[in-house]
Amino acid sequence: MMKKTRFLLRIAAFFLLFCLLLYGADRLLVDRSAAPRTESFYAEPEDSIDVLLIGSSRIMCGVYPLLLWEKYGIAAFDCAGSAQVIAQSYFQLKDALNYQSPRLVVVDVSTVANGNVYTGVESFVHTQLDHMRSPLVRLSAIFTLVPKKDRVEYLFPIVKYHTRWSEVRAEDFDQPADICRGAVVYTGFSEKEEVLPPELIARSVAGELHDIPELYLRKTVELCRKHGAEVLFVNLPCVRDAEFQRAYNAVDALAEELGVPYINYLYEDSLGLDYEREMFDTAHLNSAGAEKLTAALGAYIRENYDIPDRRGDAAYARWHADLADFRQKYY
Amino acid sequence: MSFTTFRFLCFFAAVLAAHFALPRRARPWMLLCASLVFYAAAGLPGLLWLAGLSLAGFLAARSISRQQAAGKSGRLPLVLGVGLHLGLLFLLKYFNFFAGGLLGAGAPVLSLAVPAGLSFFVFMAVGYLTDVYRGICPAEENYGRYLGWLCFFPHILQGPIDRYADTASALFAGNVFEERRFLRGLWRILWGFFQKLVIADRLGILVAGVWAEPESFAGWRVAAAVVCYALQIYADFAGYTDIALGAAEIFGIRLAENFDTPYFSRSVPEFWRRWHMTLGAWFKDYLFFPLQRSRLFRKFGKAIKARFSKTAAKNLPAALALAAVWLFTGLWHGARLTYVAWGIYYGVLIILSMFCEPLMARLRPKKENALWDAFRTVRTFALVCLGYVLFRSATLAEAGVILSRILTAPFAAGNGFSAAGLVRTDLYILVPALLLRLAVSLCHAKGIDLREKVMARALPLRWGIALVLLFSVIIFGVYGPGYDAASFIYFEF
Repeated sequence: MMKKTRFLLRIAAFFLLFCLLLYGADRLLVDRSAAPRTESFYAEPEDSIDVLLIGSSRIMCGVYPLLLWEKYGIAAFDCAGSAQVIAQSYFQLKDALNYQSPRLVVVDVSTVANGNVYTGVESFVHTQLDHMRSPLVRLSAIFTLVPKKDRVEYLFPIVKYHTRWSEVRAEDFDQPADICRGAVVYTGFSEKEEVLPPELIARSVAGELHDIPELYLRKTVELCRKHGAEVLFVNLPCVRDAEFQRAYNAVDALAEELGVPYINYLYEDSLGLDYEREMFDTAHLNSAGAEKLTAALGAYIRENYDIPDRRGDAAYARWHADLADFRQKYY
Repeated sequence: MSFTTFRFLCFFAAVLAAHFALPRRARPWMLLCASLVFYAAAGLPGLLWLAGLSLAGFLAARSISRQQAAGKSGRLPLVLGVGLHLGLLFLLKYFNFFAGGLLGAGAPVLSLAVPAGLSFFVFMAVGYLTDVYRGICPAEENYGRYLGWLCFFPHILQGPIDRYADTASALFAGNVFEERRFLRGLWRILWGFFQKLVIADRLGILVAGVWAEPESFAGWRVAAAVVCYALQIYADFAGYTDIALGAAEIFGIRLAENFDTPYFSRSVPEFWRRWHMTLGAWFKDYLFFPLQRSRLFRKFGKAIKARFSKTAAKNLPAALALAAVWLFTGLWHGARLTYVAWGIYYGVLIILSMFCEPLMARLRPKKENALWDAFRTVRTFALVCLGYVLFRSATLAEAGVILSRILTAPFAAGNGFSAAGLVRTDLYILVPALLLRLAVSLCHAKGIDLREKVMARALPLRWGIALVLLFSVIIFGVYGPGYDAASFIYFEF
């Protein structure tokens, strides 16, 4: 009996040491190119963010939290991710709510035409999940979003990244902190596509919402309300065909049913967007377009929600310095 | 369920925990259930074939035993049992090959999936029936026990081709747990994974790349790829065997060894006594000797003796039996002309070496000579590599291209190995890994039991070795997305 107990203790110690080393190796080898952006979110003091932005790269490149700060004193953070579908954004929000208690969550619905839970762009899903901090949210995201055959590499990212042993450099762990509060800035224009203003269909022409994005939009609203946060749906300017536009228009009915305001910026002429000069490509705004959109969104938020102006708050002193750096770097 | 999948690791951990948590009497039955689950993962139709064949084998063995108890020979149930097993093997694995060869394009095609590990468990079952007939082991009275032995998960898919008399009793003993056995088994499993994932699958990248476009490489690079294939297939199959034997060892079951540093062999017959030993032994015990001792062969020997000489009477029937053995050895690996040609190649080499032995004995130095031994080892390895050209190629034409590239354009301009997919960092891993493999083989050849040596060391070192091996595999192994999860080469056979 003693022998058996002794062995079980040794096995337990071995397993524990194995897990620790595995975790260490995992963190050492994981691709850290997106880490500064993700880590900057967790570095924010707890409950210091009033507005959370979630969704795809459209909002990530289209709304700059530091410009919201500059003009309205709004402390916002952009938790969106590339090609992130609604279901992914739901889990991103769930994770974020473990660290922040926002008063408003702005949900980008631009991927509503995608009826899946999984974007299919594997590297983007890794970017989202590999650095997610809440273990339970991460686990449930993996089991919900990722096809069964691929789950092992998300549960243990080392399965994907073990080949990076020869690429790891000390600088990977010493990257400058991301000051953009989650935003990604595109300057100029993509040379790949010519951007012309979209041919808009009538706003009343709507398609059917796919089950999965509808379900996760509902769950997102429910989650926000549970945490005492208000919700705002937005669709950002883009050049997309009628099928996509019908999907964006289909959100109108759902928003009305849920009692959530929905701004579809495709139809907001007051924005005065110059598609040829202020879009980076057909899907993303460039820095000029983002500045215009951020101002419009900020004005809407200031007018319709009770979001404090934190500019005089000493706890937010760093935001002023970061804004100055941001302005200098991008404008 | 391949050994190199996450699913297998979870399965094995669960079986291990359940096995030692259960009372001793229940353990063999738990292993039976686990083995059935393991086999069912390869496809339910295969499980049905296995159940049917094992039942037939079980009944045939009992019938042999009963007939012999009643004073009869038991030959009829033996012939029926063996015929059924080999007949099914022929039907599922070779029918289309032979029908296509004989009747051409209009031949009927049988579209039945070949159950995983069929060649291995059919050979084990035929061995069992023959052993019962010969009185080497008693017929099993309990079907569950027979099935439990036949489908024991470490050996059913790729062997070793075990003998009932050697393994069954340990399998049903419900062994108690031993830390020492656990560690020895764990080290062997991890060493198996190291060979498979760090060495074999990395070499496999280069081999597949060169074989895909041999014309784009200089002949010496193609020859190097053939040598790499020799190392790949060894690391692959020995790796599998180490995982299988290590897993069984943890449960207290010793399966038969399959390798004895084969590339140190000094002759081709010696190579075959040290490579895939259980297959060689099977052919020797169940085909070569029965053929040689058969009435027909004895008559043939007598006729030769009357017409020619005593030596011819000894050698010619043996050569004929060897020809049969090597033809079937080639075919056993698969219904493909290159396998048949590969079998014939070895048959010719071994028969020639038998006939040339008197001449070679005269040429051989009288005293031990390291240089001569080294020459013989290199020569044997070169002959084995030549055989691999046939073995690795899908068609005879492909083998011809490989050989002609080596012989006709040894230093022609062509791609570097990086074009075959092998990058410099792979070499940083391969070279030390192969040196480690060589060191382990040298220890084995000198009779040093490395695991015993480590077992005598302090506790942290014993467990530390397991951790080092584990992380070597995790970090340097070839697996994960982007890689085709290469199955074991012998899984196809």
